[in-house]
Amino acid sequence: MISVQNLRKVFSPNIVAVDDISFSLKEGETLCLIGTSGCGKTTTLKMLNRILEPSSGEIHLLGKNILEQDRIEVRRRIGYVIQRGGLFPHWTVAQNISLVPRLLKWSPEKIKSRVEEMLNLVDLSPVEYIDRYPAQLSGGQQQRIGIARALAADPPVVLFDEPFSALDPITRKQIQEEFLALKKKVHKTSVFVTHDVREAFLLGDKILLMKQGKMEQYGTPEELQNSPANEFVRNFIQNH
Amino acid sequence: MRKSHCILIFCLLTLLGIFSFFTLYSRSDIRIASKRFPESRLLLEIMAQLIEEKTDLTVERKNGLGGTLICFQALIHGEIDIYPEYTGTGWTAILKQEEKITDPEVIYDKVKKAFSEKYDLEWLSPFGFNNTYALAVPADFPAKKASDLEKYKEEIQAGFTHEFLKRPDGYPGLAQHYGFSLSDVKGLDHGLAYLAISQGEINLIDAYSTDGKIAKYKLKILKDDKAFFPPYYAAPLVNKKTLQKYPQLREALKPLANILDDEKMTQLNYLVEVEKQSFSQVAQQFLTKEGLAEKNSDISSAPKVDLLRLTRQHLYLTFMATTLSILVAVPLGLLISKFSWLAAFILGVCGVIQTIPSLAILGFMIPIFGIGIQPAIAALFLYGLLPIVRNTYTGIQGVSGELKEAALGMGMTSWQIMFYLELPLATKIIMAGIRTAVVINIGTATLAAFIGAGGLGEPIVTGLSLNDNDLILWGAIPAAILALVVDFALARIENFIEPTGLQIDRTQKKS
Ligand SMILES: Nc1ncnc2c1ncn2[C@@H]1O[C@H](COP(=O)(O)OP(=O)(O)O)[C@@H](O)[C@H]1O
Ligand SMILES: [Mg+2]
Repeated sequence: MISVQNLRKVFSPNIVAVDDISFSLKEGETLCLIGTSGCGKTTTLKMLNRILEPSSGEIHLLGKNILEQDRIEVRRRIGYVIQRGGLFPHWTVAQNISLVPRLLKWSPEKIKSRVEEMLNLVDLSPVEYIDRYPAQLSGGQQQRIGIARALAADPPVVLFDEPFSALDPITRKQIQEEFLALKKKVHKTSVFVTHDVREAFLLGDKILLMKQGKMEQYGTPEELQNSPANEFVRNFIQNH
Repeated sequence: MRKSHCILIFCLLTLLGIFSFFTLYSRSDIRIASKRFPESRLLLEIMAQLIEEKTDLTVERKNGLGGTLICFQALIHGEIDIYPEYTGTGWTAILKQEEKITDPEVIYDKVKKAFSEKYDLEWLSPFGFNNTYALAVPADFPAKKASDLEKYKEEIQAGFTHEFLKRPDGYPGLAQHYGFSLSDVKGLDHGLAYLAISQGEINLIDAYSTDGKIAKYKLKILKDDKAFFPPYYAAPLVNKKTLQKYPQLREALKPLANILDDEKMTQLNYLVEVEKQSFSQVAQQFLTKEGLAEKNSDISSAPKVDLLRLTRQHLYLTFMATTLSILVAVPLGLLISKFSWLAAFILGVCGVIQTIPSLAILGFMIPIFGIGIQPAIAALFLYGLLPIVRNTYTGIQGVSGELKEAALGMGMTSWQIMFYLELPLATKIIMAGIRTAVVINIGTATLAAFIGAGGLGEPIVTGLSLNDNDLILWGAIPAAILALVVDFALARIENFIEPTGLQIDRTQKKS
């Protein structure tokens, strides 16, 4: 589905933010990128939808090198959820969710039914929420709309950048459960950045632990748990 | 829905603005202007009434344009057809001649010839009086002529205007010409000098020989017995093309040749300056007395200040200027928010424009646009730029990077981000900038009257030249009220066009 080889990002003058990252995911798999703050997780993610250009390396989506495709097109085919949702405050829930379908010029009828479908998917009643503004939603609800927005155009891959880190623990737990349920329903391939080890082990089919831009270990949660590659991995998993 | 409403309203207002241009500033056959002091305005009124009496031409009065430069520029650019000018001014200030000529006829012939060749303008026959510099003393002061001053120099306490103290044809030349030097000479404002001499603090001032205040303060003019001051004979200065187009004009103005002398002019000035009679009334009485007009034509019933017309003109100026400012400044603000290396430069330039005094900007516009509303709108347009550019820039800068990144990540183009995200989020701040621009411009537009653009500045300008506080307030108070009302209305519009989601967001954060 998506495969990444030897990805590197060097910011001028000489900051190596991401250094030789490779992984590949099958359809429906979730990869959790973990690591301490500043280790290059966001930078890696932003290269996947070409907000940042890699210094070197390759990214293939459905067998095609996305670095050779139109950037705007690529982004419209990849869902993107950021911390606190990133909802547009001047748009209603319906307008926010339908953003990418509208960019793709879907018909109004199709958009309308898709918006309702998405609201039902994230367990918010369309009648009640469709015309609300983000300011009229709780943090957890905003985050769910953020996910609905990312899924609206049915992209093959969805990227998440610490989407739940600003929520209180109870809401976070709840929405993590919903995420798992959703994953079963929609079967999306996703890359999920978090600095929370427990979240990574709960949601990830694969885990990639980073340190200062480098890959420390890449494998299933069990592999990291049972055979940590080195002392850093062991400590990281135990102490977080 | 709401957005399209706004655009519709905006278009309607623009159309209304363009339409009112034609109703507010319809063009007459003959446009007569005057400078800002009462004598010039009286001469304008006398000429205007005479033309209206003797011909069928329509006359437009452009009262109180800024000064010699503005009147003259307006005349050669065809913005006006006639204004009263003085031979001495034509010789020194316009032709920039240094040669001293004391014979009034020689100087008249010379300016007439030069203006005809150089500018295609004609000096008609002079009105007959000489409004030159003069020295005035209290009526009971023993000296009679300028050469007596040497004799009384111990008693003399002079108060001269700063201009008179500096000009070579003022005090320095005078002292040299007559060979005296005064020990006690102060620099004073003209208005204050009259006050000071009436209270006995000084006893010699420079004045204009036909000044109406000379009679008011019981002063007398010292005879210029050694002929130092150059002659300043007033005459109608006319565009030759107008004379060709309307031959009846020359005929109509003919009776004004030599109709006045120093004494008569001083008396007329006294009536408007001191007795506060209206220009039209004094002009009409004068023409009637000279047998040039019917007694019963009724002018004085016209209201002193036509507030409605002035307010509409004022709004028109402000509206057109601000519209232009918005059309230029919003895109400029967007541009510099994208190219930050341009920001400091553009904001700097707009800031510098803001610091140029309003009258100077109006002055700069005259060579480009002539006089009237175009230069006024151009100047106000420039003043409106900074607040709008600055607020557009800060408004766009204030949009959270997180949101822009989300938009980018979902595949919006930079144009889409600008129109659907940045501009809506910045509307309130941009509107606040527009409000500032409008309020500044309603104030500044009062100065537009100096260059003949009308508006509520008209009574202010007239009031200033007549020392008439009532008249000044007739312009100043409505202008202030207008600023408040418009600001209030714009605040309502600002709330109306702010996106609903943001209003909810704001009220929630407050509670
Ligand atoms: N635009 C940039 N220019 C220079 N350095 C950057 C830029 N963005 C990120 N970095 C640096 O790259 C490193 C990785 O950042 P980031 O990917 O945001 O970390 P994380 O998301 O894991 O916390 C950090 O050291 C950060 O300072
Ligand atoms: Mg990060």
